[in-house]
Amino acid sequence: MEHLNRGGFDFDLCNRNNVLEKTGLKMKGFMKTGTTIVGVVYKGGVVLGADTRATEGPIVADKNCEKIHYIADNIYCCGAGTAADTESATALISSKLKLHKLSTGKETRVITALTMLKQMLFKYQGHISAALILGGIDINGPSLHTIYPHGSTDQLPYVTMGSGSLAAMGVFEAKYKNDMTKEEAIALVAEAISSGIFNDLGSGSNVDVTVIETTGVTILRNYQTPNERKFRNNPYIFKQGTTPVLKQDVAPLSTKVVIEDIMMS
Amino acid sequence: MQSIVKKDLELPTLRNESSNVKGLSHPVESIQLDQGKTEIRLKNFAMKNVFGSHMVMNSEIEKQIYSQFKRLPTLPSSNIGLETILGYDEDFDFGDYLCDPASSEAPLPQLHSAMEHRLGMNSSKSIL
Repeated sequence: MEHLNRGGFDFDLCNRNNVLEKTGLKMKGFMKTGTTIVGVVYKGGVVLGADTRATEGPIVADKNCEKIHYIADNIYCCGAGTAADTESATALISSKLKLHKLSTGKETRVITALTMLKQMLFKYQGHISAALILGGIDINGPSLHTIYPHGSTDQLPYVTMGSGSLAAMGVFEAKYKNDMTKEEAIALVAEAISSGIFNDLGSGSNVDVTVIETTGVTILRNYQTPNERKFRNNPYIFKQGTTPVLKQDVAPLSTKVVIEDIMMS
Repeated sequence: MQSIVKKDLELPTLRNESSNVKGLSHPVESIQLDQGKTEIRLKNFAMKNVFGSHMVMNSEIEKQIYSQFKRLPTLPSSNIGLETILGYDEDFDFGDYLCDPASSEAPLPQLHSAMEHRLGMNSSKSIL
């Protein structure tokens, strides 16, 4: 009946990889964002926070990666799990949402993005390893949702995800209160992420914060940098004469190279 | 008060039809192969319960009509009518940017041999 010839994932190399693995070849790992991501709803908006470390097994692959992704002008999403999966899933849903907005002619709602993400993740049965925190503000006010890799979702006033989620949740459970001000919310989020950075191996480097409110979005990239790398203070500049000069021979360039001026007609 | 809720909804099966998962190189391959069919099953279920089963038949016939408009065997068809009624013109998926079949490296058969095969004219020449 319908034989739409569409693209999609190509599995040609999977068999080859399986055979190689059986012969003993150790496959290259993939980049994960073993991570601390948090979100909090305050009076008038949502604050999202994330650390900036991306790991590849025991190695830090990226010391300053961005984990807070753009979905729409009023919706942002933090991603934990396989870095490629979170980035491609959020980019895909961002494009889908834009098409949807253009066809309906209305402002995007957070639950639309949520439904699209959860349907896609459930369709792939958890193989897309993306644990997301979706936060945004729309006609129904500010809202915050979590999405797990298999497709289940939650709506809560404060959420944490990732390997550092327990450290961050400890901070939230102790200090969260309803109807905080923007400054209180940002401080709380920064404290929760710092707790994840210092107490979890998979999280580290800097704190990223994004504030979403009705008037707009404020992106505070590297809001706190508690792990600054000290720069080297010994430049390799040696003055002439440090190494004794025995002989000096200067040949002007015109003896080796002919320089011509060609008139362009 | 008597409730008129229909308790016996025939829910669509979400199991993939390509059950030979071991033959495939990755479990996601079976998901991808059956993607269209699963979506259609879910849509038909919703349509049947909202509009009635006649609507399902109607849309199936429409799809069959639109899928007849294709180019000759090895040439790429745009399938614009079919994609429009399926809703793919206003949607975005992995298939829209990954592994475009127009730029695949697999060699296509010759158009003439494909047409001969379709018309049942493929007489193999023998030296005897």
